[in-house]
Amino acid sequence: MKTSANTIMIGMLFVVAAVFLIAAGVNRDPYAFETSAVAMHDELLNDNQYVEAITVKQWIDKKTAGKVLIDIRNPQWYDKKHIEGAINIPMTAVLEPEYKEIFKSDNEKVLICGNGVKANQVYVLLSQYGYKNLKVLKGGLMYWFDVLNAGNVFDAYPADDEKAFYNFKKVMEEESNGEVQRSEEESDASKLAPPVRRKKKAVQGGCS
Amino acid sequence: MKKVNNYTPRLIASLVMVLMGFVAAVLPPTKNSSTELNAEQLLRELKLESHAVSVDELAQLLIDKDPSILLIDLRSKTEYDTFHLPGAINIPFDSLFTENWVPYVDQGMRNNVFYSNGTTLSTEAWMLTRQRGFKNNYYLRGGLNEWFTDIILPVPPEATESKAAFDLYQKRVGAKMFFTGNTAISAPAQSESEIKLPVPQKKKQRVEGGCS
Repeated sequence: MKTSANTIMIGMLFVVAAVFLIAAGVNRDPYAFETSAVAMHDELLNDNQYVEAITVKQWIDKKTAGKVLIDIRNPQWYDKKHIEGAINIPMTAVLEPEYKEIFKSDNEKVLICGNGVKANQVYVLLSQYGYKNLKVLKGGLMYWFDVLNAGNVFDAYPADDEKAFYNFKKVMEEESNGEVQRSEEESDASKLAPPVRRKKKAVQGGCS
Repeated sequence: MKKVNNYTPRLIASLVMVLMGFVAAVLPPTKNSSTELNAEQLLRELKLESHAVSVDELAQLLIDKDPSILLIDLRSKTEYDTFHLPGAINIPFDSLFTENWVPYVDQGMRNNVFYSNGTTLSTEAWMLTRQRGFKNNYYLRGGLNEWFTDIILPVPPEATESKAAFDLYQKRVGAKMFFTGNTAISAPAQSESEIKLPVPQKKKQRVEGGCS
């Protein structure tokens, strides 16, 4: 009698332990980041997430294996124009389970957007989440189509989003000079990169 | 024998308890036990651009002298010393998480606006601080490049463009005068109060709304 009561008690304890383990397992957040923000910050300081447009072009020309181009813009924009061979995974869906296999593969995955800014955001998010071998197309599609593929001068406008377009100090000095009324055309001359206005239009069109 | 039988279940019970304690200690933190954001939450805020500030919004905040705003320049000290926005402090991106700066980015008093030359560094800083659960941080969309293109060197709209475009241009010309101190562009606006034209805001939102 006593023994069977003990057996039941032991059995129940194991059941409780099992339930606890299962509950703990289920409660694990599938979207938890693998890397801490501080570690990710250290990684970003290396600044090696970018791949130059010319390099990607060479991969395409040589049909290099093990590379996946991922366009993260909306399907509407992707349908209008995209790099040949690029697949479309909209930014909003990058964490969906159906794309896990693509991101978990050993291939080098190049994230692409209009100007590289959002692709970089996705890069930071997914790298910290735990996906490896991610890259960002420097300058995005704006640079790809308007500079590289159009055969323009390579530095026609900077592929680097963080490059200063202007000599800020100089522009401020010139614009603060209130003596003469200046037309906008004249003030344009102080810019380092002339086609800035055109560039902005391209951002609006190409970005998703 | 009887005594042993009495003790065995308790012993096993305590062992199981200790074991569960170990398991609980080893498991990663769950959703509810941390203020940190997970990937899904961070992506949601990124998509909404809920923490992005446009150059026009920032210009208005600075003209209004909003005391809750603290501008944080993420560029190098050299770049900061050459030019920075009025009132900005310099926290170079590489020292974002150093001891002396964390109190500035993890606080509940002010609204910080990160900025850099473009949008890349400022969103990186925002994402990392936001993921750690820090609140009240924002980033300047377009950075100093867009600040200069739109606010300091505004281009007049073409005659065929909408009234909204002209209103926005007028507003930017006013902002330019405020930030450059150059009042010679047009005669009427001579005092600061006149610069604040009651023009509808956020015209730019429409254009950028399509971004995902």
